[in-house]
Amino acid sequence: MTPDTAAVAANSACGSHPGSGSGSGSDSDAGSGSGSAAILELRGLTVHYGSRAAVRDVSLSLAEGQTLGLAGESGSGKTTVGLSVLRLLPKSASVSGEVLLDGQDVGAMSWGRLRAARWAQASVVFQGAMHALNPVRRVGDQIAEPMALHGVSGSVAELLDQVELPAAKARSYPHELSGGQKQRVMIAMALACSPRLIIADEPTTALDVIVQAQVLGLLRRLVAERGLSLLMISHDLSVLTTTCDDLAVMHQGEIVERGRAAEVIASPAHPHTAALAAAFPTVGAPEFRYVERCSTLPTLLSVEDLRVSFGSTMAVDGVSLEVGRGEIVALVGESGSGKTTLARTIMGLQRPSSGRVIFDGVPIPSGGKALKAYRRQVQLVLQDPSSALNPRHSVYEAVAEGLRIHGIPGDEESLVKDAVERSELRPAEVYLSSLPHELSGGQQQRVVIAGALALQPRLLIADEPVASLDASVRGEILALLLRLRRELELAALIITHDLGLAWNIADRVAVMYQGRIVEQGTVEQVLLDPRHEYTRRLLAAVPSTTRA
Amino acid sequence: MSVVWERRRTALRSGWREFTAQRSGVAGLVVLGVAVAVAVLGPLLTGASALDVTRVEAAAWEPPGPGHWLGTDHTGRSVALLVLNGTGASMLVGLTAAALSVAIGTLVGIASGHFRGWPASALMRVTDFFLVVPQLVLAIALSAVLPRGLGTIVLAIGLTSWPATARVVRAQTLAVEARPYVERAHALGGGHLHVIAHHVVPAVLPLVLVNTTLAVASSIVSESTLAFLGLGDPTHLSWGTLLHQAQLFGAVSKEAWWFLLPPGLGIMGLVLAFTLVGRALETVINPRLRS
Repeated sequence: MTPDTAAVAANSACGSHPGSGSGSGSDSDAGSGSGSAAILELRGLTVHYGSRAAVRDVSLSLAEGQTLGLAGESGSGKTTVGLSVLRLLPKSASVSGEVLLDGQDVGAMSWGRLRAARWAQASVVFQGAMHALNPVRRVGDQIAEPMALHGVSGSVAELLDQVELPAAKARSYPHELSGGQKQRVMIAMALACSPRLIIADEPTTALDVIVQAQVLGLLRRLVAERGLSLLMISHDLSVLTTTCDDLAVMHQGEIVERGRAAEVIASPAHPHTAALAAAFPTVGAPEFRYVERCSTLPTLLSVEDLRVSFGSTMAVDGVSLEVGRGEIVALVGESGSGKTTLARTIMGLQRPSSGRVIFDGVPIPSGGKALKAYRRQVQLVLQDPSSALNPRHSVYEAVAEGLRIHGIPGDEESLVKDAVERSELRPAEVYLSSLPHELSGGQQQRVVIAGALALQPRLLIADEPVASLDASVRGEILALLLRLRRELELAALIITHDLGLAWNIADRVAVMYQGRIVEQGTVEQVLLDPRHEYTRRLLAAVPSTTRA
Repeated sequence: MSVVWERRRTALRSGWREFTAQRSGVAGLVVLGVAVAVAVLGPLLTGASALDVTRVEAAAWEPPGPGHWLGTDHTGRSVALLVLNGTGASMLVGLTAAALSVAIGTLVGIASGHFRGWPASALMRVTDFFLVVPQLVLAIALSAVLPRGLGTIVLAIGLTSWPATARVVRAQTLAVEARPYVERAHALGGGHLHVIAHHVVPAVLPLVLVNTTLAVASSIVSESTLAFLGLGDPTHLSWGTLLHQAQLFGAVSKEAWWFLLPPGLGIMGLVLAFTLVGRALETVINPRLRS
């Protein structure tokens, strides 16, 4: 097909958005026999990768203007369902069943017809806006790309305006934009050809709470204003309930529950739905608070007026913070607030510009043997366990790494086994020889925790310890942290953007904003009776399954 | 730790399966095997007397025929025997020079990738210098200054061809160092040595291996070039030296193609074999290259 004919075909397809082309749409609907104005209908969709079934006999229908949330954990097949709508699955996937887009079977479409349908009838907001944008092209050009391909006239400035970005941002490169802005660009791109259906795959994962609330609000507004249908895919039930009217829950490739969002959440019929719902706690609800209040504890770590600057930017700007023995402190803030830099400075991985970090009464050493010894006491648990483990090292090697570095005397094998079992990987022998990629995300995070525990630290610094884990695993890891605190008197500084996590397990909360700690106190004080304007905004932005 | 070895053995076995699935790689490996056998057995079988100019009976510049099926050279020695005997020197110089160049390149690459600040920049500027200096000219200058011998040739090639390896290894080192597991190793208390030995080197090694096989190929060509220009070791026979002699004693004007062609084809065959094996190995360690 020459570019010209492609453009013509695309042109005619692009014109068929509400108003101009609805006649043809209803014709084909009648032909397919459904009668209703279903924009998307899946009939017995089954997808196999090799012999493994990723999606099993899924039937769904989405009416004009309807919003449907597809919930499920990683590996539940929800993304595969989303991609099958535009036949975007890799070649290794074998698809059976029907996918009817506007009454036409996507699987039977010719290549040219499919190209015309992509983006013009349905478009996708891809997961991970950071990777879905081309880093070497201006975002304006990237938004214009589908319009040029489909021969649609439209204005990039107008699209940017719709997603509440200034028109000047069209000249930016992706790295010059924040995560939220990139996600807005992705949405603008999805809107470029005025499709009637938008498939949003985890559109707000990895975004801060406040930004997430803004992006969700934007999606809701666009869907309402333009009468779009929305198929939103997420692991986060609270995000789905704030955006979608209907909810379908997927588990191991099958839809286990389907209904009105509010009803599904209020009375989940399937145990898996209940497990998912429990992972998104309501701040303030006592049933989601897992810790008993404890008395004031002697100070273990204290940070005094710490400042860290990179060139002219102050990443950490005069922070003072204390963590008691066996206390769990949550450091809450959005990305860019300096919380990770603060953690790195406490670990001695980053030199402070001024101020001090005092651990157990002694200022932390700046190098040499003393720093190495200090790092035995304080351990780091990183956000993404899959990248925090060397893919070539087995569980045994990963856990023994710290022991070998510090030359800890004793039987290495029994120390490793002990640490692995403490992290609730039982029996240890089963896991010791596994490689990271053979483990699930939750198991990987336990290995990271075991590696830290092997050194018998007194303080654990956990950077978003559950952010990349599945909902049902999240609770287990939190319970593990609490148990370690109880049994080993292990203090923890938990860095998170998730206020629900703070409510779950923290004793105290420090809210960080633009390098400063704006509010600090017990969980009840800060989260139930916030003093600072920023804390209030954070709390207001938390999506909640109860829609309070 | 038997589990680890068990796993490595399975990894090796599956790697070997990948390798054997590529016919060109296997063909290269077969050629290499034959070349090694010839290099080792050749001199033993022929004996020293066959190449002794005082004992040869054939006339000079005889075309291929019975008794000497690749003809004779300007002194009456059999070209076939000369080529067989030259295999060893060409291969030896190629291998050692490649090993030297890859060793320097790996060392510089890892050091400049791991350490930050001015020492790393200084190392990279040195690398850049060697990268822009014409390699052949530098090698000629080195082998002209140093005393003649195989060692000099090895040194001249090794010292001039490492920058490409250094660049590649540095890039890989930087990629590995950016991974969170290196951050975790630092947080566990690991120093430079630990991170390099346990995380960087194992990740860089496959790349280095492939680089070595490709470097051997180019080193063989470099050796031939230097020897052809008359900078080789006069006491050792290599294919480059043969070509040098052929040119020196007027093989072209005598239309003695049998003296020029066999050493040239030998170089081509060996270089091709190393390149094929290198490419096949590259495919094994980098699954993205598999079509």
